[in-house]
Amino acid sequence: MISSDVIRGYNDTMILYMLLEGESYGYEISKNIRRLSQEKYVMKETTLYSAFTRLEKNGCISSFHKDGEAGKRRTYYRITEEGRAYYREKCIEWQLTQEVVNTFIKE
Amino acid sequence: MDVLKAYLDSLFAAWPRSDQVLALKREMLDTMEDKYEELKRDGKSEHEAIGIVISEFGSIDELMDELGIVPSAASGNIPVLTEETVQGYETVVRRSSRLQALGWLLVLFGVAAMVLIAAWNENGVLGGISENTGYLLAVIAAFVLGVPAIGLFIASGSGKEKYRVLGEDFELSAGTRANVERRKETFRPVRVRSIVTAACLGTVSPAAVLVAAVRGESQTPYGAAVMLALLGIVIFLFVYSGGIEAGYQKLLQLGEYTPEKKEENRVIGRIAAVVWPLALIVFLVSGFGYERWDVNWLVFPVTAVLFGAIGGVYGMRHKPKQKA
Repeated sequence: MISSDVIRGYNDTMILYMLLEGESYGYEISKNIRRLSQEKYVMKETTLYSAFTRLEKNGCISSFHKDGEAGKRRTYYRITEEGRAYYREKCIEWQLTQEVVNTFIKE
Repeated sequence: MDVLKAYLDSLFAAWPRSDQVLALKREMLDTMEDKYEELKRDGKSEHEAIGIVISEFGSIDELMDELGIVPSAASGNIPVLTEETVQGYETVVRRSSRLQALGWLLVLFGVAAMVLIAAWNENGVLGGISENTGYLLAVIAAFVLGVPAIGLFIASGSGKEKYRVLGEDFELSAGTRANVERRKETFRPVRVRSIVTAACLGTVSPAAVLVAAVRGESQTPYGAAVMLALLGIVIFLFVYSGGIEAGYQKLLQLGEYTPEKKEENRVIGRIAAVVWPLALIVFLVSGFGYERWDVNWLVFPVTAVLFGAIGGVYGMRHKPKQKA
């Protein structure tokens, strides 16, 4: 299990990644993050919804209501242009962070 | 899933119920239910599924920090009242409302007795005593009932000093608030019955004077005495139920007890302390001095209307100031 302190700065990046290919809703996003991380990272509910709130406030995502499968009405999220730009920035930032930190990692 | 809903309810209890918070809560419940259903489909037992969902919930503080919301109780230096303080205050309010209401009842009964004895005296019912002794008896009756009333008014104030904090800023925890709201709700039927009874009696009371006046001019004071006694019961009901209701409103900081209203009430309270005794004096002087029991009771409804108008004008003039 990964310490949430370390990963905190990249929760938003993961959510944006999940939305790059199309709109999605809370549970689907959280489930896919778990699956892609091979069960190594589970995003807490409150972390997920804090991120939604923050990203929506910053204009990186927008939300809307839609009837999902089985007729259940859900809040869906979709990435905006700002969101894509922010995602690219975060990717570059991570490359750099990784390079720097890697310098100090032995084994 | 009731368990998950109850879990979320308890976590959100301490937070303000804004639209944003409620929408978020609803959405989180959906997500938790989705997760629960899927765990069940994967063969987990109900208990295991709930355990996993709850363990993956996270920290509500994180969410509220993000929303920039402070808890409804616990925002720094504003004192939070304990359940004991609140219940203690409610007991004191009940007691003091009862004493005040009894005090008013005695005052009005005292005046009614005075009017009654004076009328007997004038109509020669009292028998062999002089007219002056008769009037003296009337005044004594008023005192015998009125003096204990003063004692009751003084006693009604005791015990309240401890709760001065309620006049200033304070908060209740979500749980305490819910308890107070429940008790206020339990009291509601009593209050409604009191108001309806009081309003009926108050409306009917002038009829006593009219009926008496029809039976002859000498009978009019009897009608006035009956009306005063009825008004005594009216005031008793209003003061008693109104005092308790005001106690609840004060605790919940509703209606008259929002910070802006507190100032307005102080001013109107001062006006009331002058206007109503004045109305009573006008009533008694015009009754005893000029024998106009047939019309002088009108001073009370007229005062009530004027007083309402004063309150309304004051409220209107001071609203823009509050907004600025």
